[in-house]
Amino acid sequence: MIQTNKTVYRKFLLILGVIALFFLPLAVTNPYVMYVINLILIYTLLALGLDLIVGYTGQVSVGHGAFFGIGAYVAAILSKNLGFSFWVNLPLSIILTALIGFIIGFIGLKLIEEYLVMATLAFGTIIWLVFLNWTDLTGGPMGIAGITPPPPIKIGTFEFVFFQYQDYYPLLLLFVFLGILVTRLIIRSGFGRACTAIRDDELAAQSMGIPVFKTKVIMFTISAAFCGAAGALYAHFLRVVSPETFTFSMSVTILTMVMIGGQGSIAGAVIGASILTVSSEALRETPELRMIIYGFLIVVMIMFFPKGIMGLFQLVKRRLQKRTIQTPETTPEKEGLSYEH
Amino acid sequence: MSIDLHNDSAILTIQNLSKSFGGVKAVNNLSFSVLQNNIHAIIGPNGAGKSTLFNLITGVIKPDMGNVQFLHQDITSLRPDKIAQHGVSRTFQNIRLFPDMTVFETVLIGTYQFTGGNLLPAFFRTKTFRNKESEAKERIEETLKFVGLWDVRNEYAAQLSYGNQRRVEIARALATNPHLLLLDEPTAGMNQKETQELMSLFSEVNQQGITILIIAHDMHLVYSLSNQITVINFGEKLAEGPPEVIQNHPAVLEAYMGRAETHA
Amino acid sequence: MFVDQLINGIVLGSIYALMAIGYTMVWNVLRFINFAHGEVYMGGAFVSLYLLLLDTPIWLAYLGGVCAGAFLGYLMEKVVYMRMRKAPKLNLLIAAIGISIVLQNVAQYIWGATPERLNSPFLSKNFTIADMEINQHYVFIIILTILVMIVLELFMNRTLMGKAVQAASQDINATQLMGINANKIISITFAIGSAVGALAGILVGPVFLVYPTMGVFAGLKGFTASVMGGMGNIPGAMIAGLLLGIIESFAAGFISSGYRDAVAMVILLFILLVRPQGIFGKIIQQKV
Repeated sequence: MIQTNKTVYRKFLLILGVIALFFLPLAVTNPYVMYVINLILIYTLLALGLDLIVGYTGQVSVGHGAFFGIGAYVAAILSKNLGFSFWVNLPLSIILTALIGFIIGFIGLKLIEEYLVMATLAFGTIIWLVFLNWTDLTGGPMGIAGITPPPPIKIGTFEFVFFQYQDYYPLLLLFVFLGILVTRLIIRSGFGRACTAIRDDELAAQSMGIPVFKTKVIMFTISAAFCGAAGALYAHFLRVVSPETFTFSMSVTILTMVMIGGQGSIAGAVIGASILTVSSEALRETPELRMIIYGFLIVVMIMFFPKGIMGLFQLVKRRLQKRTIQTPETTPEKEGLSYEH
Repeated sequence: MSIDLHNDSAILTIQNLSKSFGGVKAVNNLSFSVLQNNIHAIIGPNGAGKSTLFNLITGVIKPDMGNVQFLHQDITSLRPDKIAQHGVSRTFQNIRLFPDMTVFETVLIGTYQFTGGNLLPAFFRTKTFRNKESEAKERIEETLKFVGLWDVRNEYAAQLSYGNQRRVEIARALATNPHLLLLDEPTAGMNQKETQELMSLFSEVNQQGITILIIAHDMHLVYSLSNQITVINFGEKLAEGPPEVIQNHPAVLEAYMGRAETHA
Repeated sequence: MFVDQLINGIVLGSIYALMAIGYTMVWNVLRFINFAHGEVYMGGAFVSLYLLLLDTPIWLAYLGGVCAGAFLGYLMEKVVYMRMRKAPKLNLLIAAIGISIVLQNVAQYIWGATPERLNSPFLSKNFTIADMEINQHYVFIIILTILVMIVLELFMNRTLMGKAVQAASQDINATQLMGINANKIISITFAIGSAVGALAGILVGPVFLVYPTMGVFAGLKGFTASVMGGMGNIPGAMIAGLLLGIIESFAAGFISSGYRDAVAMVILLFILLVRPQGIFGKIIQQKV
């Protein structure tokens, strides 16, 4: 019964921490720091999305930068040309990105893993060329500026206006929590377990009645939808989109986040997004050097620490647990059906 | 033991099945039936095409010719997952577990078709969804207790002993609620005691009404466990019949038993 | 005009065919597609360019580029892929993506992003056949490609090593049982495939210039050709490469220059959608 008390205590701490996080802007006065924190939140959504397909389903995509771009451009175009507000653009961005994700998944997930890598690379290139060349719609190399911020939120007489970086923060944080919640629901469902089974042994999974192709395509679609949401948030937060953001390098950066933080882990996605966003800002002036480091990190992590920082963390934890006296284990009904803590 | 040879009691019928790899005929014009509630053994020397046969039945590879009928339905062209959903489940010659899953999680995968891959109910945690989940978990508890793995349910399946890994595979296959269970050399590499334990487990499984098709090398096991034996060599059927007949079949003695006996 | 496009197509196609060979050879022995193959193409071209700057004779500079490409491929295999033989394929793929990014950006760091022309002894000369002018370098590309294919064919079928590589394509483990060192076969395959890839990059250098990201499109197009030809099917890859080059060359006439590179991408997506096992079909077998 100590166990249950401990979980209640933990949950209480967790809720407290979450509430505290919303008040972070009170402690951060530097607008640039606030800007970087907001970027971390957007990248966290991207990393969560990519991790669904890489970490939980075992398929690699190098086109998630393009899905991010589609989400952003859809929101930008709708805002600029039709004057739609953020709250309309967000669902539309998600739906359209998911739809395109479905098509790419359907094309790339058929035979072998490499086909998805190449299909997403080809797709990313096409999308980038479209951003660059369809000047009438996308503004060409200049991109689209002047995207409207989300409309003010009125609660009674109190009006919340999106003006400065710290105003966006609670909104972005809310979506990150939503993303984490959705991710948890997915990976703990029968569907999520089926994905993990496919990742671990496709043939065994299929022999147990799991429709492999269909499951992968659905997960890929959801994964793209995450990027669509991140894109719409990005467009309305930065209020300008341009093609150079959504290149192959972006896809690689998201992949690096997942690899560093640890594939198949929500905490890993958060850690990876935080580290990579800060380092990307720090290495802004030397893009080649940044990409050399990222590429090198990808190789080293996958060779020696394929489960990233979270994997290392869990390894240490497991070692420590083995040394202490074995406590009676919780039944799988309560815990244990996920790969998190 | 009385065997009803009436055609209706055949659960699996294989007709003129052929498959070659790069000119080598792995399975050649093979036909036989597995009767309901039998423990049917497939024996034959290494490379006789036994595992290929299993892969053909479960749809992992497609035959060049011939067909496979399960419960009077043609399943030849179905995908492996569809065949599994029809009620054919299997274990693998070289154990295939999910490295990152505990025993409980591994077996839970077997219940996929009942708990469903449908996401929306899982999202909103509907009542039917929760009922199905708890039902599945009860079934797994039952299955794990049945195969004797309940105590290690929270351990990583891949870290168990070889014998217990086999049991996890069997439990996972049973969780799909099969009518027909295919076992590919389940006792390979096991000692006498483990083999005995598994054999009694198979009998119990069979008593629950699950037909078993088993590939095995251990003659003692085959003769005492099965009530029908098909001998194949070079992908072709060499002989067929109950153990008493096979034991003294001249062709079998020549092609297979002679070697097996020198081993023993 | 038509003949011009056709010749352009054949030249492009030769390059894609050479690239496709690298993918398909490695696929045969490892059941893995080396995502970083495009960077071997780029690396070979850059080494040749660098050697020419040092006043190396052209033939030696070309040869040096090919050897450097072979060594680069060998190195990737030895340093990274070989240590991951037991890892899931996902990990191998991610490692290959990482290698590709490192090499691209190292090249950019050293040589900068500006495209440079690789010298060719034939570039400024033309053949005149029936009123038509054909650049001699184009002819050089086509002849060299045919030569490489003949040599490869002879190597695969007439030498012991080639036969071992072929046996490894059937089953790498069986090769080991036969007493042939599987790692050696894999190394040789990587080296040959990479040498051919680097040669493609060097041959392209005088026409389409040399720059750090040149391998991305070439890699994708070579991969497209290998899929079209049926993954693992070497003659198929050669024919499909030519076909892709010709299609692209003709299609480019109808499409604005901004989208030119998208043609091959769309073809790839289309092939993956309609016929992922390739035109000449070689069924990809799952190992059971």
